[in-house]
Amino acid sequence: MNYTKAKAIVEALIFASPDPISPKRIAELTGLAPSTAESLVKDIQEKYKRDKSGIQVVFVAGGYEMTTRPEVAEYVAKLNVGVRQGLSRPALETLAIIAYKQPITRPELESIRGVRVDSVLNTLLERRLIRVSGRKKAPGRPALYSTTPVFLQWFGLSSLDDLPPLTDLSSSSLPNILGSN
Amino acid sequence: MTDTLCDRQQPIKALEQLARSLEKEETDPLQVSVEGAVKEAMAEVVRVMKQPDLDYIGDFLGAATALIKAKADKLLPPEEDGAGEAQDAEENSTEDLISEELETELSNEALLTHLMEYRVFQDAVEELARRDAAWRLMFPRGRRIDTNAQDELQLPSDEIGLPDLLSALKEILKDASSEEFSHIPQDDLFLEKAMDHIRSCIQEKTRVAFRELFVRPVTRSGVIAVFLALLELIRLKEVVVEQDRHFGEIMITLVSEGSIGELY
Repeated sequence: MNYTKAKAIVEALIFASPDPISPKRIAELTGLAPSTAESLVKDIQEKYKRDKSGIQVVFVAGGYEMTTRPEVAEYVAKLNVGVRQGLSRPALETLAIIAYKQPITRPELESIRGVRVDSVLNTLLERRLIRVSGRKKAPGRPALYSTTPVFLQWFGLSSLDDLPPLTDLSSSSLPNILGSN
Repeated sequence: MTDTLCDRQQPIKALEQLARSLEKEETDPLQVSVEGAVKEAMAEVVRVMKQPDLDYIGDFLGAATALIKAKADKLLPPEEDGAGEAQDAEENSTEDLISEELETELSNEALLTHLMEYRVFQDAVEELARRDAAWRLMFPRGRRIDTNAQDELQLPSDEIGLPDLLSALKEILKDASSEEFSHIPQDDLFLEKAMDHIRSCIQEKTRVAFRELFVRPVTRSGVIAVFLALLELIRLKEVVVEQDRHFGEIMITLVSEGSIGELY
């Protein structure tokens, strides 16, 4: 298999895959080494960039995916393909806590946020951003919540390791939190 | 008769005497075992009391309480002197203030810890919000865009619907024994058990037929329990219900279990 054909096959696989396709999967399907597959994808990404294409290949949720470029979003939106709704601030806060502290129970979430999170959890479950990943061995066996691959796709994260590091707050920064008092 | 009365009063008197002795500091409180003294007196009470006498038991409890108080007064830190209700009120008020100060201090500490923990996530929230906005402008190839949350139970359009499930349920119910049952328990434990049953079925085989979920011999209450649990799992997006072809077997599959395991 020559370079041009291999690149065409990899491009086709990314195009046809309904979900992000991992370098490992590309390697399985093509017989190429995963590193070669990654190198070919890089070339494809370069080609789209060079051509100022409306399409790009991104690495998300552990695999490659084709998306349109943000610059052409307003035109694509007119196709009525469905622009996803943004998440509310409470939903983002709840999701961030789950992402960093997963698996986590509802009472633990409510303890951190200081408010009830029932309806936010339902919204996140319905959007498949989180799932019930088990039950805590505690009185009442409360459900444990974790993020899903949809969460990674939603935020363009390749894995949970991509999450920004949490700010390290020491006790010395307390005055800043509480103002001048 | 008099002897009997004397015998009956003896345990109470013994306790009262011990309490007085403590109050007058004639006895070292550390040397007094309240438990031992009360147990001993109690054994005597049981021996001399021929039939239940609530007044007598009340007197005994009063004496035992007085002994406990006498020892506690000697060993616990002294309370501030006070006489009369006004002084008691003032004393209580001082105690309340101290308690309030302590509570305030503790609640401030808890509040600070809580604020710190909450604050830590704010930067992450900002980053997620930024990413949310940026990735909303990129339309993925081949992936369904979840435009909004649906409040009601709704199966994805490419899967079978609720009417199909209900008709399959009717078939199962036909086979179910017609035992009499007055009600179906609606508590969480009931649903949880049925949900765990479905989860274990699917985890064993990855994909199971709808009919296989029902434990043999099937009963009407069992069928309804499993069906309600299945609806709950669909609502929680833990499973999908699919049909490979028209009139084919209805299959239950875990949602992206493989990919979740691979990614996490």
